[in-house]
Amino acid sequence: MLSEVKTIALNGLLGSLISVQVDISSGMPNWNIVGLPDASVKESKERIRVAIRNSNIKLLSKKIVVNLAPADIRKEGAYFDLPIAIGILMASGYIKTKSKNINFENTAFVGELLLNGKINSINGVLPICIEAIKLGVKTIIIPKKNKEEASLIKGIKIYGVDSLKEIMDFINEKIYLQQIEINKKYINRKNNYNLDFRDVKGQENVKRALEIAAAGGHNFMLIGSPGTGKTMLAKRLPSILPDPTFEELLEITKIHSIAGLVNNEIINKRPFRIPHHTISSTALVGGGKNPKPGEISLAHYGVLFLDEFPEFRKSTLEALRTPLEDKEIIINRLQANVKYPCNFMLGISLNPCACGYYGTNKCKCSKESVQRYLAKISGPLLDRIDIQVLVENIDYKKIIKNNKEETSEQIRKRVNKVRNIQLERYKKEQIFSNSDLMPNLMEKYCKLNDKCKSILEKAADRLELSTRAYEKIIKVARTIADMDDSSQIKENHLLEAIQYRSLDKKYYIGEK
Amino acid sequence: MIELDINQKDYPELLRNIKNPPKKLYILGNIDNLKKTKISIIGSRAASQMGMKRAKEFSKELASNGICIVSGMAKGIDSAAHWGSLLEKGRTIAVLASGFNNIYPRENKFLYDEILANKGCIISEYKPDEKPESYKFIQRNRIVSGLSRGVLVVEAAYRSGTSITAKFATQQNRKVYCLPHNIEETNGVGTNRLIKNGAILVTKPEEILKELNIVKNSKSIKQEQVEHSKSNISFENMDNETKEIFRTLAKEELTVNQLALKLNKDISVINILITKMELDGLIIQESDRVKINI
Repeated sequence: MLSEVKTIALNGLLGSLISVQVDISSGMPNWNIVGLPDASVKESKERIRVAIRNSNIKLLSKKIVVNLAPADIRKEGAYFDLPIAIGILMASGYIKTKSKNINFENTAFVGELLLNGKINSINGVLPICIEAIKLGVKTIIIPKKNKEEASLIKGIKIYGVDSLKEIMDFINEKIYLQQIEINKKYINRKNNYNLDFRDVKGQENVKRALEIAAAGGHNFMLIGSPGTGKTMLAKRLPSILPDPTFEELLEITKIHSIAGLVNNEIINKRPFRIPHHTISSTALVGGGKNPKPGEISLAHYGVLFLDEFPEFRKSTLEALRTPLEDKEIIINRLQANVKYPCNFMLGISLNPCACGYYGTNKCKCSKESVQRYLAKISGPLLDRIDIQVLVENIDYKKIIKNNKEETSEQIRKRVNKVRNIQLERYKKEQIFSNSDLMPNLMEKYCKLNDKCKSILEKAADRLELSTRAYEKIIKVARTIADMDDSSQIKENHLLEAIQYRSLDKKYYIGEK
Repeated sequence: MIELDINQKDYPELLRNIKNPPKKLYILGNIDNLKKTKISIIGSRAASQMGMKRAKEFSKELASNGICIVSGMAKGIDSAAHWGSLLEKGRTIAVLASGFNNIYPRENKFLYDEILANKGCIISEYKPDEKPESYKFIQRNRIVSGLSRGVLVVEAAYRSGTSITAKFATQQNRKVYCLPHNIEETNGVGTNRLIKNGAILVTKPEEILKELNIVKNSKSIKQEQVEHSKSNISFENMDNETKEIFRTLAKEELTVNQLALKLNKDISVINILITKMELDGLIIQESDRVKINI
């Protein structure tokens, strides 16, 4: 007898509707899965056979053929277990082909079976559900363990099931299951950051720069000697990032879901990824035989912080260039062509020179060696950094005396306000922040008056600023103007923005 | 601009007596400075941090004792010497190797203005429109040493313009004072050689004063300072905030955070002012330190 059940296959973040066809006929007892399954799908045979037996159902020894159609799409992952099992049970007559509870025409099943007949959680439930809606699926059956993740979604009936027995009883109308309800409490839940800017004494300049970076989504660079607190400051950045919108949260959770990092709860804050410098390019941008999202995609709508930047392999870093520009990464493999979004804020930190102490008496590097060290950051990458700021050594004695510092909460309130100004201004432009401004939009939104233009000319003349610095300065000035609640960029905004281009300045490396 | 012929009364006596004195001097600013006791402070253009600091300190100390500091307004030690004097509100004379309309190096236009605003003077033997040329710098050096009673060499490399000035000074019978250096320092090779050949090794400004038989006359100095501060117009064009920052930085190099803390101002305000001053050439930022542009 023939049966047909629907499921969803994910390729990157894109889903396609898969029809699981099962035929059971008499003949030599045999079991075949066709339709481009990968190893984890092929293995499902054993899991399904044992799980069915352990659910107190006796399968007859017959010839079973499972086809996953369309046959040209690659199927991977263990979540095909459930639809295949349902198909077999239906083909052998254990469950109804027409049920009041479920219309098989537009119902998709996903879930991994355990040998005892229970259903295990899977990765990627959120993107599967979202894609299911797009593909016209009306009902989806998912593992109960993934219900929190799915509770973000509206527009589709979602049932969470715990065991094979439960879903069989549901289809056979013996029991009734409660649909998973939309749950927004995760979104409204207050963010708890255990790191706070209040703990950082001094370093006002860096704090200000990070606030600007957070408000405008600018890529930033921290330069400072060991022990000055670069990493400490950067790690506190998430606590002042603007609150994500619901759509952003969905996207963030989707990617984390595919990577298996969701752990049955909604991600309710912007991600902050800080990979070690030994990371491979594949781990950074994504890839593998079945392309997985890399760190840049996991940092989508959040921050990717590369500590000790010059220690990263050069090829790894150069792989960042196109995704930084395109805000998405297309991973081409022989058998797959996957696209992941990666609209992240890049933060990097580095020492000022090879020995690490340039600018103090301790430094033993020659002028040339400092230049050589800084040359490790390639021009094209430097092009994409809007804010460069120096983290200075602070005097221990002064730290103790210093008065109370602002809390992250206070800073975040301001950042939220500034980000909302930008969202409002750019609502027709498909961009979210000042850092996304393209040259044509800059002409529209960053008009400079004559005084500002003369400042830029003067800066070019005196500081010998490179041309690449201009665009960055104007974008940062736009954010500073927003922080000042000014619709126009004024001289002071521009002057402050120039201050955050330390490395571009002629005198950065002085006479040694 | 004043033109001074070699036969005129105001033409500096010391200069007139050298081997080949300039036939004519073009002078901007206060001509009275020519009558004062003068010491020139010279040294490398590519000077070390320590050299700059020493030049500034010596210049300050000498200037506060009423000595007029002569130098060539080049980058490095020369600038430090002029600034040292200016910070003490002392008199200083810059001798140019070009006409007044072609100030070299151009970065020092601000220093040029400051010298004039502080009752100093600028001297050149070239007509205002003449351009700087390499031979003129050597020619200029004979005036620097010729104008003054002694020459203090702060730093000099093996072959350098500074060594040439020191040679002029010896030929002109001027005292040559030298700061000793570590034997490994390239900028110390010249000064160490001068000491070997009989220059006077000095480690404190007082030693120069003693050599010149100048006793600290506290009363007259004070009077002079009062007189100066009354007519001090050097910072005229700056607003109060800029002045405050400049004064603070003249005393010590600071980072922007330290500056904000010291002046009790918001960091963004400091950043704005600092950039403005940097664009005006008042300060430079090297690594994380902000310092006045000398």
